[in-house]
Amino acid sequence: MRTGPFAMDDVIKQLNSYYVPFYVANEDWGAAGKLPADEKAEIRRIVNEAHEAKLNVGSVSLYIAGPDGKILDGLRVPQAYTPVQNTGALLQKTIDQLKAKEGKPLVKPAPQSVPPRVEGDVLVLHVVAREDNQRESWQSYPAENWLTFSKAEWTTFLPAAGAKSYAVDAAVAKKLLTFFYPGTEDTHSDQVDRNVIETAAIQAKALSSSLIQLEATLKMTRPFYPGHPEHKPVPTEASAVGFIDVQGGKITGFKMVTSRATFGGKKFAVAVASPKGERP
Amino acid sequence: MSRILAFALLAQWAGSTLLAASQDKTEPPTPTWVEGRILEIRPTPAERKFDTIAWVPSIKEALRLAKQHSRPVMMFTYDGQMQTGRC
Repeated sequence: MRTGPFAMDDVIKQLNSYYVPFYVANEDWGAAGKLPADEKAEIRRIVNEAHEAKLNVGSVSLYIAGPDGKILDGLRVPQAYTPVQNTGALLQKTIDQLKAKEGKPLVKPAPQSVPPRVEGDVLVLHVVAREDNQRESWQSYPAENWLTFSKAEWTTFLPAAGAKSYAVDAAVAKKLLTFFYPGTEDTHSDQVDRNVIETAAIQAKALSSSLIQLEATLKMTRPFYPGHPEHKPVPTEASAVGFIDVQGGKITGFKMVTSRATFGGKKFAVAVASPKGERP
Repeated sequence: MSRILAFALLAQWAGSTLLAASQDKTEPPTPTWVEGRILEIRPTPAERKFDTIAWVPSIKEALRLAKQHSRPVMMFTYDGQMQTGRC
Protein backbone atom coordinates (compact mmCIF):
# COMPACT_ATOMS: atom_id res chain seq x y z
CA MET A 1 0.00 0.00 0.00
CA ARG A 2 2.84 2.39 0.90
CA THR A 3 4.27 2.57 -2.60
CA GLY A 4 0.95 1.70 -4.25
CA PRO A 5 -2.20 3.68 -3.48
CA PHE A 6 -0.59 5.68 -0.63
CA ALA A 7 2.01 7.03 -3.08
CA MET A 8 -0.53 8.01 -5.75
CA ASP A 9 -1.11 11.76 -6.13
CA ASP A 10 -4.89 11.33 -6.51
CA VAL A 11 -5.20 9.22 -3.35
CA ILE A 12 -2.94 11.55 -1.35
CA LYS A 13 -5.09 14.49 -2.44
CA GLN A 14 -8.31 12.68 -1.50
CA LEU A 15 -6.94 11.75 1.93
CA ASN A 16 -5.50 15.18 2.67
CA SER A 17 -8.41 17.21 1.34
CA TYR A 18 -11.48 15.18 2.33
CA TYR A 19 -10.52 12.64 5.00
CA VAL A 20 -8.95 12.14 8.39
CA PRO A 21 -6.36 9.44 7.61
CA PHE A 22 -5.12 7.05 10.29
CA TYR A 23 -3.15 3.78 10.20
CA VAL A 24 -2.49 1.23 12.91
CA ALA A 25 -0.52 -2.01 13.21
CA ASN A 26 -2.72 -4.95 14.20
CA GLU A 27 -0.13 -5.89 16.81
CA ASP A 28 -0.67 -2.56 18.58
CA TRP A 29 -4.43 -2.83 19.09
CA GLY A 30 -4.50 -6.56 19.87
CA ALA A 31 -4.98 -7.84 23.42
CA ALA A 32 -1.26 -7.44 24.26
CA GLY A 33 -0.85 -4.33 22.12
CA LYS A 34 0.82 -1.16 23.32
CA LEU A 35 -2.09 1.23 22.66
CA PRO A 36 -4.22 2.56 25.54
CA ALA A 37 -7.42 0.63 26.24
CA ASP A 38 -9.70 3.42 24.97
CA GLU A 39 -7.81 3.57 21.64
CA LYS A 40 -8.07 -0.20 21.24
CA ALA A 41 -11.78 -0.07 22.02
CA GLU A 42 -12.50 2.50 19.28
CA ILE A 43 -10.49 0.58 16.67
CA ARG A 44 -12.19 -2.67 17.69
CA ARG A 45 -15.60 -1.01 17.44
CA ILE A 46 -14.96 0.17 13.87
CA VAL A 47 -13.62 -3.24 12.83
CA ASN A 48 -16.56 -5.06 14.47
CA GLU A 49 -19.09 -2.75 12.84
CA ALA A 50 -17.51 -3.50 9.46
CA HIS A 51 -17.76 -7.25 10.05
CA GLU A 52 -21.36 -6.93 11.28
CA ALA A 53 -22.17 -4.99 8.10
CA LYS A 54 -20.57 -7.86 6.15
CA LEU A 55 -18.16 -5.54 4.38
CA ASN A 56 -15.23 -7.01 2.45
CA VAL A 57 -12.67 -6.54 5.26
CA GLY A 58 -10.05 -8.63 7.03
CA SER A 59 -6.94 -8.10 9.12
CA VAL A 60 -5.23 -5.92 6.48
CA SER A 61 -7.93 -3.54 5.30
CA LEU A 62 -9.18 -0.04 4.72
CA TYR A 63 -12.12 1.07 6.87
CA ILE A 64 -14.18 4.16 6.12
CA ALA A 65 -16.12 5.72 9.01
CA GLY A 66 -18.39 8.74 8.74
CA PRO A 67 -17.98 12.03 10.63
CA ASP A 68 -20.07 10.40 13.39
CA GLY A 69 -17.58 7.53 13.64
CA LYS A 70 -19.98 4.89 12.30
CA ILE A 71 -18.71 2.47 9.69
CA LEU A 72 -19.63 3.29 6.09
CA ASP A 73 -17.43 1.16 3.88
CA GLY A 74 -14.33 -1.00 3.74
CA LEU A 75 -12.05 -2.98 1.50
CA ARG A 76 -9.43 -5.60 2.20
CA VAL A 77 -5.93 -5.83 0.78
CA PRO A 78 -5.02 -6.96 -1.88
CA GLN A 79 -8.34 -5.86 -3.46
CA ALA A 80 -7.49 -2.30 -2.38
CA TYR A 81 -4.64 -2.22 -4.89
CA THR A 82 -5.69 -4.81 -7.43
CA PRO A 83 -6.10 -2.80 -9.54
CA VAL A 84 -4.38 0.11 -7.84
CA GLN A 85 -7.28 2.45 -8.69
CA ASN A 86 -9.57 0.60 -6.25
CA THR A 87 -8.47 2.65 -3.24
CA GLY A 88 -9.18 5.92 -5.03
CA ALA A 89 -12.60 4.61 -6.10
CA LEU A 90 -13.41 3.57 -2.53
CA LEU A 91 -12.44 6.99 -1.17
CA GLN A 92 -14.35 8.83 -3.90
CA LYS A 93 -17.52 6.82 -3.25
CA THR A 94 -17.78 8.18 0.30
CA ILE A 95 -16.76 11.70 -0.77
CA ASP A 96 -19.68 11.65 -3.24
CA GLN A 97 -22.13 10.05 -0.79
CA LEU A 98 -21.40 12.58 1.93
CA LYS A 99 -20.96 15.49 -0.50
CA ALA A 100 -17.78 16.14 1.48
CA LYS A 101 -16.20 19.55 1.08
CA GLU A 102 -12.60 19.96 0.03
CA GLY A 103 -10.32 21.43 2.67
CA LYS A 104 -6.76 21.66 3.88
CA PRO A 105 -4.96 18.80 5.64
CA LEU A 106 -6.03 18.75 9.29
CA VAL A 107 -2.52 18.04 10.58
CA LYS A 108 0.85 18.88 9.09
CA PRO A 109 2.23 15.90 7.14
CA ALA A 110 5.39 14.62 8.82
CA PRO A 111 8.01 11.88 8.37
CA GLN A 112 6.58 8.62 9.68
CA SER A 113 9.87 6.78 10.25
CA VAL A 114 11.55 8.77 13.01
CA PRO A 115 14.08 8.11 15.76
CA PRO A 116 12.66 6.93 19.09
CA ARG A 117 12.41 9.37 21.98
CA VAL A 118 15.30 8.67 24.30
CA GLU A 119 16.46 10.08 27.59
CA GLY A 120 19.99 10.12 28.91
CA ASP A 121 23.19 9.05 27.28
CA VAL A 122 21.81 6.84 24.51
CA LEU A 123 23.26 6.21 21.04
CA VAL A 124 20.57 6.07 18.35
CA LEU A 125 21.39 4.39 15.04
CA HIS A 126 19.32 4.26 11.86
CA VAL A 127 19.66 1.02 9.90
CA VAL A 128 18.48 0.95 6.27
CA ALA A 129 18.49 -2.19 4.12
CA ARG A 130 18.03 -1.85 0.35
CA GLU A 131 17.97 -4.71 -2.11
CA ASP A 132 20.09 -4.35 -5.22
CA ASN A 133 17.03 -4.51 -7.44
CA GLN A 134 14.41 -2.85 -5.26
CA ARG A 135 11.80 -2.98 -8.04
CA GLU A 136 12.01 -6.75 -8.20
CA SER A 137 12.20 -7.35 -4.47
CA TRP A 138 9.55 -8.13 -1.87
CA GLN A 139 9.13 -4.43 -1.17
CA SER A 140 9.68 -1.58 -3.58
CA TYR A 141 11.37 0.52 -0.91
CA PRO A 142 14.11 -0.01 1.68
CA ALA A 143 13.42 -1.45 5.13
CA GLU A 144 14.45 0.53 8.21
CA ASN A 145 15.11 0.05 11.91
CA TRP A 146 15.91 2.51 14.67
CA LEU A 147 18.20 1.03 17.31
CA THR A 148 19.20 2.41 20.70
CA PHE A 149 22.37 1.58 22.61
CA SER A 150 22.77 2.40 26.29
CA LYS A 151 25.98 3.95 27.51
CA ALA A 152 27.15 0.55 28.77
CA GLU A 153 26.64 -0.73 25.20
CA TRP A 154 27.96 2.16 23.07
CA THR A 155 31.14 2.52 25.09
CA THR A 156 32.19 -0.92 23.83
CA PHE A 157 32.60 0.68 20.38
CA LEU A 158 35.43 2.72 21.92
CA PRO A 159 38.92 1.46 22.79
CA ALA A 160 40.10 0.75 26.29
CA ALA A 161 42.93 3.07 27.33
CA GLY A 162 45.91 2.53 25.05
CA ALA A 163 44.22 -0.09 22.86
CA LYS A 164 44.66 0.30 19.09
CA SER A 165 42.84 -2.80 17.82
CA TYR A 166 40.02 -4.50 19.66
CA ALA A 167 36.75 -6.37 19.29
CA VAL A 168 33.45 -4.63 20.02
CA ASP A 169 31.44 -6.47 22.68
CA ALA A 170 29.89 -9.56 21.08
CA ALA A 171 26.38 -8.84 22.35
CA VAL A 172 26.53 -5.26 21.02
CA ALA A 173 27.82 -6.45 17.65
CA LYS A 174 25.01 -9.00 17.47
CA LYS A 175 22.42 -6.39 18.47
CA LEU A 176 23.41 -4.23 15.49
CA LEU A 177 24.22 -6.83 12.84
CA THR A 178 21.11 -8.99 13.35
CA PHE A 179 19.19 -6.21 11.56
CA PHE A 180 21.32 -6.68 8.43
CA TYR A 181 18.69 -8.32 6.21
CA PRO A 182 16.49 -7.01 3.39
CA GLY A 183 12.71 -6.63 3.47
CA THR A 184 11.01 -9.88 4.45
CA GLU A 185 7.53 -10.72 5.74
CA ASP A 186 7.49 -9.15 9.20
CA THR A 187 4.24 -9.22 11.11
CA HIS A 188 5.36 -8.13 14.56
CA SER A 189 7.88 -5.83 16.24
CA ASP A 190 10.39 -8.44 17.39
CA GLN A 191 11.21 -9.34 13.82
CA VAL A 192 14.74 -10.59 14.52
CA ASP A 193 13.56 -13.35 16.84
CA ARG A 194 13.77 -15.85 14.00
CA ASN A 195 17.40 -15.09 13.11
CA VAL A 196 19.97 -17.77 13.94
CA ILE A 197 23.39 -16.15 14.13
CA GLU A 198 26.55 -18.07 13.44
CA THR A 199 28.93 -15.10 13.37
CA ALA A 200 28.33 -11.44 14.29
CA ALA A 201 31.55 -9.65 15.02
CA ILE A 202 32.89 -6.11 14.78
CA GLN A 203 36.61 -5.43 14.86
CA ALA A 204 37.71 -1.89 15.61
CA LYS A 205 40.90 0.06 15.03
CA ALA A 206 41.66 3.44 16.58
CA LEU A 207 43.03 5.49 13.66
CA SER A 208 43.43 8.56 15.88
CA SER A 209 42.02 9.93 19.12
CA SER A 210 38.94 11.11 17.19
CA LEU A 211 38.43 8.45 14.51
CA ILE A 212 37.77 4.71 14.79
CA GLN A 213 37.50 2.31 11.89
CA LEU A 214 35.12 -0.66 12.05
CA GLU A 215 35.02 -3.93 10.13
CA ALA A 216 31.98 -6.12 10.63
CA THR A 217 31.21 -9.70 9.65
CA LEU A 218 27.82 -11.40 9.77
CA LYS A 219 26.74 -14.93 9.00
CA MET A 220 23.22 -15.97 9.96
CA THR A 221 20.09 -17.67 8.70
CA ARG A 222 16.60 -16.22 8.61
CA PRO A 223 13.36 -17.66 7.22
CA PHE A 224 11.51 -15.26 4.93
CA TYR A 225 8.12 -15.84 6.61
CA PRO A 226 7.45 -15.93 10.34
CA GLY A 227 5.54 -18.92 11.67
CA HIS A 228 5.98 -21.01 8.53
CA PRO A 229 8.23 -23.97 9.42
CA GLU A 230 7.91 -25.23 5.84
CA HIS A 231 10.06 -22.29 4.70
CA LYS A 232 13.74 -23.04 5.11
CA PRO A 233 16.05 -20.55 6.83
CA VAL A 234 17.76 -18.35 4.24
CA PRO A 235 21.57 -17.94 4.50
CA THR A 236 22.44 -14.30 5.10
CA GLU A 237 26.01 -13.01 4.92
CA ALA A 238 27.48 -9.53 5.13
CA SER A 239 30.75 -7.68 5.45
CA ALA A 240 30.69 -4.02 6.41
CA VAL A 241 33.05 -1.12 6.99
CA GLY A 242 32.46 1.95 9.08
CA PHE A 243 33.83 4.89 11.00
CA ILE A 244 33.07 6.42 14.36
CA ASP A 245 33.79 10.05 15.21
CA VAL A 246 34.75 10.54 18.83
CA GLN A 247 34.98 13.72 20.89
CA GLY A 248 35.57 13.85 24.61
CA GLY A 249 34.89 10.15 25.05
CA LYS A 250 31.53 10.38 23.29
CA ILE A 251 30.42 9.10 19.89
CA THR A 252 29.55 12.16 17.79
CA GLY A 253 29.08 10.34 14.50
CA PHE A 254 28.56 6.74 13.40
CA LYS A 255 28.55 5.53 9.80
CA MET A 256 28.75 2.01 8.39
CA VAL A 257 27.87 0.37 5.07
CA THR A 258 28.07 -3.14 3.74
CA SER A 259 30.78 -3.84 1.19
CA ARG A 260 29.12 -7.18 0.39
CA ALA A 261 25.80 -8.62 1.53
CA THR A 262 23.63 -11.48 0.30
CA PHE A 263 20.31 -12.96 1.39
CA GLY A 264 19.87 -16.37 -0.21
CA GLY A 265 22.34 -15.29 -2.87
CA LYS A 266 20.43 -12.05 -3.67
CA LYS A 267 22.50 -8.93 -3.15
CA PHE A 268 21.44 -6.20 -0.77
CA ALA A 269 23.11 -3.29 0.99
CA VAL A 270 22.84 -1.90 4.49
CA ALA A 271 23.63 1.59 5.78
CA VAL A 272 23.92 2.48 9.44
CA ALA A 273 24.14 6.09 10.57
CA SER A 274 23.47 8.46 13.41
CA PRO A 275 20.23 10.45 12.83
CA LYS A 276 20.76 13.25 10.30
CA GLY A 277 18.28 15.87 11.36
CA GLU A 278 15.42 13.41 11.88
CA ARG A 279 13.51 14.14 15.07
CA PRO A 280 11.33 11.88 17.27
CA MET B 1 56.62 -22.19 -33.72
CA SER B 2 56.97 -23.63 -30.25
CA ARG B 3 59.00 -20.51 -29.22
CA ILE B 4 56.19 -18.26 -30.47
CA LEU B 5 53.60 -20.31 -28.55
CA ALA B 6 55.72 -20.18 -25.38
CA PHE B 7 56.05 -16.39 -25.70
CA ALA B 8 52.31 -16.02 -26.25
CA LEU B 9 51.53 -18.12 -23.18
CA LEU B 10 54.04 -16.13 -21.11
CA ALA B 11 52.52 -12.84 -22.26
CA GLN B 12 49.02 -14.12 -21.49
CA TRP B 13 50.12 -15.22 -17.99
CA ALA B 14 51.82 -11.88 -17.31
CA GLY B 15 48.78 -9.97 -18.52
CA SER B 16 46.33 -11.95 -16.43
CA THR B 17 48.55 -11.61 -13.35
CA LEU B 18 48.74 -7.84 -13.79
CA LEU B 19 44.96 -7.63 -14.30
CA ALA B 20 44.31 -9.70 -11.18
CA ALA B 21 46.67 -7.48 -9.18
CA SER B 22 44.94 -4.29 -10.35
CA GLN B 23 41.49 -5.76 -9.56
CA ASP B 24 42.59 -6.79 -6.08
CA LYS B 25 44.17 -3.41 -5.40
CA THR B 26 41.07 -1.60 -4.17
CA GLU B 27 41.26 1.69 -2.38
CA PRO B 28 40.69 1.39 1.37
CA PRO B 29 37.27 2.78 2.32
CA THR B 30 37.24 6.34 3.59
CA PRO B 31 34.64 8.13 5.74
CA THR B 32 33.64 10.16 2.65
CA TRP B 33 33.05 6.99 0.62
CA VAL B 34 30.96 5.48 3.43
CA GLU B 35 28.88 8.67 3.69
CA GLY B 36 28.28 8.57 -0.07
CA ARG B 37 27.08 4.97 0.06
CA ILE B 38 24.77 5.79 2.97
CA LEU B 39 23.08 8.46 0.83
CA GLU B 40 22.64 5.92 -1.99
CA ILE B 41 21.05 3.34 0.31
CA ARG B 42 18.69 5.57 2.32
CA PRO B 43 15.05 5.92 1.14
CA THR B 44 14.53 8.52 -1.57
CA PRO B 45 11.81 11.20 -1.39
CA ALA B 46 9.80 9.16 -3.93
CA GLU B 47 10.00 6.17 -1.60
CA ARG B 48 8.78 8.38 1.25
CA LYS B 49 5.77 9.88 -0.59
CA PHE B 50 3.63 8.20 2.05
CA ASP B 51 4.98 10.89 4.43
CA THR B 52 3.08 13.59 2.52
CA ILE B 53 -0.24 12.21 3.81
CA ALA B 54 -1.57 14.09 6.85
CA TRP B 55 -1.70 10.99 9.08
CA VAL B 56 -3.35 11.55 12.44
CA PRO B 57 -1.50 9.63 15.16
CA SER B 58 -4.46 8.23 17.14
CA ILE B 59 -7.98 7.01 16.37
CA LYS B 60 -9.50 9.12 19.16
CA GLU B 61 -7.93 12.24 17.66
CA ALA B 62 -9.03 11.13 14.18
CA LEU B 63 -12.63 10.70 15.34
CA ARG B 64 -12.54 14.07 17.13
CA LEU B 65 -11.27 15.83 13.99
CA ALA B 66 -13.82 13.97 11.84
CA LYS B 67 -16.69 15.22 13.97
CA GLN B 68 -15.29 18.75 14.19
CA HIS B 69 -14.68 19.09 10.44
CA SER B 70 -17.48 16.84 9.12
CA ARG B 71 -15.02 14.56 7.39
CA PRO B 72 -14.93 10.77 7.05
CA VAL B 73 -12.12 8.75 8.64
CA MET B 74 -9.96 6.37 6.61
CA MET B 75 -8.44 3.77 8.94
CA PHE B 76 -5.87 1.30 7.57
CA THR B 77 -5.00 -1.81 9.60
CA TYR B 78 -2.00 -3.97 8.65
CA ASP B 79 0.63 -6.38 9.98
CA GLY B 80 4.16 -5.25 10.84
CA GLN B 81 5.55 -1.71 10.70
CA MET B 82 4.51 0.05 7.47
CA GLN B 83 6.39 3.26 8.24
CA THR B 84 9.74 1.47 8.42
CA GLY B 85 9.06 -1.10 5.73
CA ARG B 86 9.39 -3.99 8.14
CA CYS B 87 6.00 -5.45 7.25
